[in-house]
Parts: sequence; structure tokens; C-alpha cells
Amino acid sequence: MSPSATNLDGFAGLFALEPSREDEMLAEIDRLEDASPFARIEGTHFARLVLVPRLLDSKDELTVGPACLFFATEFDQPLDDYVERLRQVVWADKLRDESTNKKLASLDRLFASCAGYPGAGDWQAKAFRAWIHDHRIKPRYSILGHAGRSVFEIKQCLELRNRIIAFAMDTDGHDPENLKGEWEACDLGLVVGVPAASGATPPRSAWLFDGLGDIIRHLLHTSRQKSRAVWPRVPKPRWARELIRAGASVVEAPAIVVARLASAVKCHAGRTRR
Amino acid sequence: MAARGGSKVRQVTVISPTTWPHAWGLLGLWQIFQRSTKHKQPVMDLGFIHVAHWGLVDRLPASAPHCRSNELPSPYIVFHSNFNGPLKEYLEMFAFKVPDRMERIWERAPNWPGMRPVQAFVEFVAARTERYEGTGAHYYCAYPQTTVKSVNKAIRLRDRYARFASRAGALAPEDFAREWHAFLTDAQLDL
Repeated sequence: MSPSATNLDGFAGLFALEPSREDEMLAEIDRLEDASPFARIEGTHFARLVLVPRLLDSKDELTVGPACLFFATEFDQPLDDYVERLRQVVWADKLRDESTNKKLASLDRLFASCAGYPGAGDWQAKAFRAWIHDHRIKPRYSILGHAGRSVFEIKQCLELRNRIIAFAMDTDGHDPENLKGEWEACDLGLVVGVPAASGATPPRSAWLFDGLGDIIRHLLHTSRQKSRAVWPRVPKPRWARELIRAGASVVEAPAIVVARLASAVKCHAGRTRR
Repeated sequence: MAARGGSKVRQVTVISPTTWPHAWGLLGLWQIFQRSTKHKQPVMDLGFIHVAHWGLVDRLPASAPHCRSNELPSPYIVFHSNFNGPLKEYLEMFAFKVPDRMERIWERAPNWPGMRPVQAFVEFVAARTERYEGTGAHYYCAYPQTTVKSVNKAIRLRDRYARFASRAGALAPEDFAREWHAFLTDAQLDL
């Protein structure tokens, strides 16, 4: 296991199920109890798969939307790395399912009940990653009990603690010579500290824009969806595509223009100095 | 809400509808407080939350490329958490420590009972959790027998021991024994 710091945001997503696949999903979830596939995904702290039969409506009844799978996980390393490891496990499950008649716990069969599942083969890696990203529910407020600590580090620290306790009990009452000799002979082990997750706090301006941008992006997205059916697609110039790709909204666009100008001025100043 | 196989780690999942103005208000507040350690400290100090996330969802992605995503009739607050101890105590802790924040989050949810009496709030969340998790759920934890406090203690002990071990090798046996006992005395709360 690699000792990298935990991802502070984790992943959560609500995946709509294909019609009438609730029973299959339930059976697959039950099967996972025997051997959790998440144990095979390096760096997973916690994971959950919850079958949501329907969402609550304004009268507190379960009537809204299709049945969904709520999938959430906390892990080490960046999301894309984790998704790739997840894909490899899902694909391994698929290959195993094809080679055996036994119905074992399988993330592939579980995800296959979800709408839009593209498959997890090596040639489908990009589509799988996009599918996971599309379903992401961004955490807006989080409380983390041991932020930045990887699974590797936590397990090592717990192991070291047990060893220290055992050593202290074994050597209780030993004379100094013996005590030091025992300490040198028995390797208690020492975990090298892992730096806290980098980039945990983005610059203030970035998250302020992010918040406003999210609200405006929602409005734009809704209106864009409504207009898509009516208006034909018009090819956009490169700068416009770039702005849209960057998630540009009316608030963010000036910021991007200012940043571009600033970098151009900086570049020009550098050239002049040379 | 479940704790499987003797695990000390429990889970809760709540997905509840709200209104758009309320959701935007929450987005703004969360943007401000997400970076504030001071704001989170009272809850973190209690030491039984491994992780808790709040988020918002207003649509389910399209089932195929070039299809429309399924817009939900209202935004939903998604809360999921891993913690130690019974759900009731976990929720009571929120109710006593940060009642105003909990009120702000769920005040627009249908049948919201308010934060007082605390029992009503506990039942409100527990009922919603049960409605989802009662159907079918799978949980995984990499260190199921461990509490948040024991993780933090083990990390503190590791740091203390690293300081001790860095100089212990060069000490004479008598000095080593004295340092070792001093280390054990200092670290006894973390053992």
C-alpha cells in the first residue's frame, strides 16, 4: 500500500437504476456481505452502497424519481486514481464471473443494474471515469476526524501502538542494561510521517468564485437544457469553447480574462527584462 | 445506522428534499464555513466522527450520452457520515453542540420537528435513515475495530515515539531507562 494522504472530499454519487432492477440490486448487495470488494481496492477507508427505493417528496413519501444506488467512499489519493483502481476491481469481477458459474459478490453485476453503466474493460476506462464523475455529488461541508491520514498510516500507527504496549509490559521491571538491550533487539518499527493532504485549502478567491459560479452554472445549465431541443448547435470559436470548458459563467468569465491578461503582461515583462 | 460484524464504526445516510432558496443559502453558508476549522472544532473535539459530508443534488445524470438528465422536483440535501457509538448519541451531540446549524440545514425538510425536544430531531433523522438503509445496504471499513479517538491517540503516540527513538540509540543504559519511563509517563494517555 502506498502511504499517500487521504482525499479530503471522498466520493458520493446517486446512480439511477434501470427499471425493475431493484431485486437484482438487492441480491447483489446482500452477496457483498460475504466478501467486500472494497477490501481489494487499495486505500479505501470507508465505502457504502445503499439502495434508495425512491426519494422523499414534499409530503415525506417515497415517490420521487427511479430507485437509486447511493455509493459513497472515502479513500487515499486523487479521485481519478481511485476510480481507476475501482475500475480494475470491477473488471476483475467481470472476468471472474465469466469464468465461473458461481454467483459471487461482484461490483460489475451491481453497477450493471445502474442506468448508463458503460462497462469497466480497459478500453472503457475513459467512459467509466466519466460515468463516475457525472454522478458525483460534491461535498459542500465536511467534518473529518483524522483528515489527511492514509489507511496505510493509520494501520501502521495502530500496529506501533500495540507493539509499544506489548514491549512496555514485557520489559516491566527490567534493569537498564536489559531494557536497552531488549529495545535494540526488538524492532518496534517507526512509521515515517505522511504530509497532510496538499491543496486542502484552495485560494480564497477560487472558492468564492466556485460558490457563485455553481449557482449561476445551475441556472445556465437549466436554460441550456431547455434551449437545446429548440436551437441547433452552432460551432463556437475556440476562446468561447475554452471559457465554457472551464465552467465559465458570467461571474467567472471576467476572472479568466483578467488572469489571461495578467499572465500576458507577466510574460511580456519577463521578455523585456531579458 | 448499521454496525456490522461487531464493527465499532457506524454509518448514517439521509437524503431529504428542500427548496431552491434554502439550498442556495446553504451553499453560501457552507462555502464560508467549509474552510473554518474554528467552526468545526466543537464537533471535532468530541472525537467520534470519522467523517461527515453534506452536499446537494438536484438531478440524476442522463442514462445515455446526449440524453437529458433527470431533473428532480427540488434539490435534495445529502448527508452521510461514519462515526462511533449509537446513532442516538451521535445525533444528540449535534443537537446539543450545534443546534442552530442543524436547524439551518433541515428546517425546510417536510415534517421537520425542530431541534427541541431533542428526541423529535433524533427520530426525524433515524426514521429517514431507516427508510433507506432498511431496504438494502453494504458497508466497508478498513479499520472496523478502531474509534476516532484511538486513531488520533495512535498518531500522537507515533510522533512522541519518533522523538524518543531518534535520540534513544545514543543514550547510556541508565539514561535510556530514565528516558523510556519518562516517555511512558508522558504518553500514558495515548496508550
